Amino acid sequence: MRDQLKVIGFATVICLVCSVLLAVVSTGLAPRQARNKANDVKGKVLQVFGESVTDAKGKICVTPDELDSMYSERITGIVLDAQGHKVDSRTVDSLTAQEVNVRDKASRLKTFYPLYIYTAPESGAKRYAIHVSGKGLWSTVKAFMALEGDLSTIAGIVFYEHQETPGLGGEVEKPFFQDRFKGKKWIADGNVQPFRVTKPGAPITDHSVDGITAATMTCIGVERFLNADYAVYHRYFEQMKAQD
Amino acid sequence: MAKTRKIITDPLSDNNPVTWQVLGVCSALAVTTQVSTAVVMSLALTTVLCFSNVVISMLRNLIPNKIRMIVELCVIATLVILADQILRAFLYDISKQLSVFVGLIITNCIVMGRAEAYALQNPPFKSFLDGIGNGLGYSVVLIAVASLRELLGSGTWFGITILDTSWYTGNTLMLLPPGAFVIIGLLIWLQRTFISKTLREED
Repeated sequence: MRDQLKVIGFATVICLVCSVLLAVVSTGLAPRQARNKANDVKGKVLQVFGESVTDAKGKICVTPDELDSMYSERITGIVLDAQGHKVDSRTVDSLTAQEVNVRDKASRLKTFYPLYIYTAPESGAKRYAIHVSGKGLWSTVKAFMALEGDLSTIAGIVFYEHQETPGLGGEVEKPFFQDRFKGKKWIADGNVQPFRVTKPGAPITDHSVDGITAATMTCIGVERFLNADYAVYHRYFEQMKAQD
Repeated sequence: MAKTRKIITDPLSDNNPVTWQVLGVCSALAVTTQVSTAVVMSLALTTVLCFSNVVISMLRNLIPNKIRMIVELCVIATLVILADQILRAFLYDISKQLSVFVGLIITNCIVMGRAEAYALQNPPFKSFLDGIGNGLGYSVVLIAVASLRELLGSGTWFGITILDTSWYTGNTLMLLPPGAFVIIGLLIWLQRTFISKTLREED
């Protein structure tokens, strides 16, 4: 009996000590971690608009304060719902990864779609970045795509998160692949064109890019979610143009 | 003094946790596509291993035998979560690359194995040295595997281009888990055939 009490006592003490320690550290570091996470997203958004905030390997090379001020000066964000209507009650910073990445089983739509608007410091010209993501081969591939003021021409794309096979599907994160998207167009003759990530042999048009060899499944996934996500943003762009 | 030194040097080669005891292979396969992630993983594991050995060694006379494994697990899990939280706060980029594998240090058999086999019987300072030794032993293998994989797979080392892509085509097999299997297998063969003194003396 005494032995059992000792065991229970010891277990209780160990559990208490460990949990208190973890609670203190986790609470203490939470603001720092949240800021890292937020800055990571901000850095990617600035990067897709062609701001040089990252080095060749995609690491952020400006201080967090510089990043904050650059972001707040140049970028505003709005939130769209799955029907392409503006949602006033939410801000882009408050969206969770769940809300912007996970699709509803029936409708294949996500809960929210963030839209980032970039205002050039001198000219005041506006560009837009949409958030696109979906299944690749192994994982959810996530990217920001920047559009020129015409809301059709692609100004850049940054694949910022994936767990695809390094060297194969993982090549989506490499500049050589991302550069292929620049200057491509979503719209021709007033209609949205299906965007294609093609295999060798297929002609490269204004609406397609050459895929990655040996990464067919990743490319199919990318093609699918690019089209699905752009369609939602396109609805909002139509409303925007109608208002102008 | 010689004995103390042996605690550290033994696991480096003769009693290496990866190539001799074949522990911790899971992470040796997973995080060795780049040298830089392998280095951080090694540091994280060595730190966790040292502290878990010290803590368990200090508690070794108090821990009731019936629940000793649960207690070891509890201590290790706490330390691993601490390491993960600290990486997330201070080395965010690297923590993203390591993703789940920091958390999986909990399941790394080396940590539990050293707690069971060494820290429970030995005083804290010796256990600390044992942690360093085994951590380094793991690191040596991890970094060797990662160096080969990064060099042959992407032609770089620590991200610096060594084999230029103009004439060298990266060997994708090296970047996939089977590549690590092949390399670890070769390392184990090399060590057992040429390096390990114990075996040669037995022969």
